[in-house]
Amino acid sequence: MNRNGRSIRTMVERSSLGTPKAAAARRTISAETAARVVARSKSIERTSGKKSGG
Amino acid sequence: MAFQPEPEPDLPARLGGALQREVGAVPLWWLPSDDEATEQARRVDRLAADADLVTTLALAGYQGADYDLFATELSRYGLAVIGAWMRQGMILAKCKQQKGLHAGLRSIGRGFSPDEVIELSGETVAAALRHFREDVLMRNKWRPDGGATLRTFFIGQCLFRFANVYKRWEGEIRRSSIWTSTEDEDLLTALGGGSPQDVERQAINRLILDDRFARIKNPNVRRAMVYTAMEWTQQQIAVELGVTEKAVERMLANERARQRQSPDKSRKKA
Repeated sequence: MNRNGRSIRTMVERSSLGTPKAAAARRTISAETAARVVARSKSIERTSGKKSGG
Repeated sequence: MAFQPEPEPDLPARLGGALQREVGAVPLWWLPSDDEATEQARRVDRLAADADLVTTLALAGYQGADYDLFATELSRYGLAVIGAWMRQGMILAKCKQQKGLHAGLRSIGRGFSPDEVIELSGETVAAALRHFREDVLMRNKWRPDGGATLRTFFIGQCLFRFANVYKRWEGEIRRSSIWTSTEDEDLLTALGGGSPQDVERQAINRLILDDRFARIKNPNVRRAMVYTAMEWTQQQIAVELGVTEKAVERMLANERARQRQSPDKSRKKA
């Protein structure tokens, strides 16, 4: 929960990522596939010598 | 007493009354339909929710479990959209609609294979996530009053990254596909010159030749040009390609005319 007592999941679903079309598009990609891409983005940060987050 | 409509909550009663009269004078078709008004209200709500989300992530320094969940959902959306545009053959057109992405995007002349969609969209979204976090979110480059939603902004970032990923990939594909046979490789080595010990010189010559001949689509014409550069006669070329000498003369003349008409336009722009 964040400062407003709402989960980040709820906030994502209320955001522009949560419209019916955007949500349907997201459902076509598994969370595992997306997580691998997120991990890849972090490795790009490390190899480029930039500050790493997450 | 006649019914008096209440003024809008944020408007003084006097102005509200004036507004009512003005609205009555406006043709109905000027006004948004109920659907449009609802859609607009939803969009405003989404923008506000985007801002709320970004503020929450900013307070956590765009890191940690919450940021990872957000990045995963953003990634799912980006992969879905970029992948769909690649499969539908729309991705280059989408890139070209973006300011500054006109140059250097050459079609490969066929659709993307499923493996290519996975490879290129994955690389694109990974790069986009990194730049979106560091160059957009952390520098407050996205603002709700800019009009674009967070997801639209991210897709814009994906298109910029796709252009870079694609140019590099397409260059590799082009270089590896121009000369497909061992015979072609031998020809190219002979034409490239340079002593076997001078590997660097040979590599440079190869790059120059690849670039030159990549623009010739017809493989027979390409081979005829190579043989010509090696000082073969048109008769020898005709025998090698199994065509008439006249055909060789014509294909070389046409190719030279084509090159004169479009001399390195893309290179000049770059």
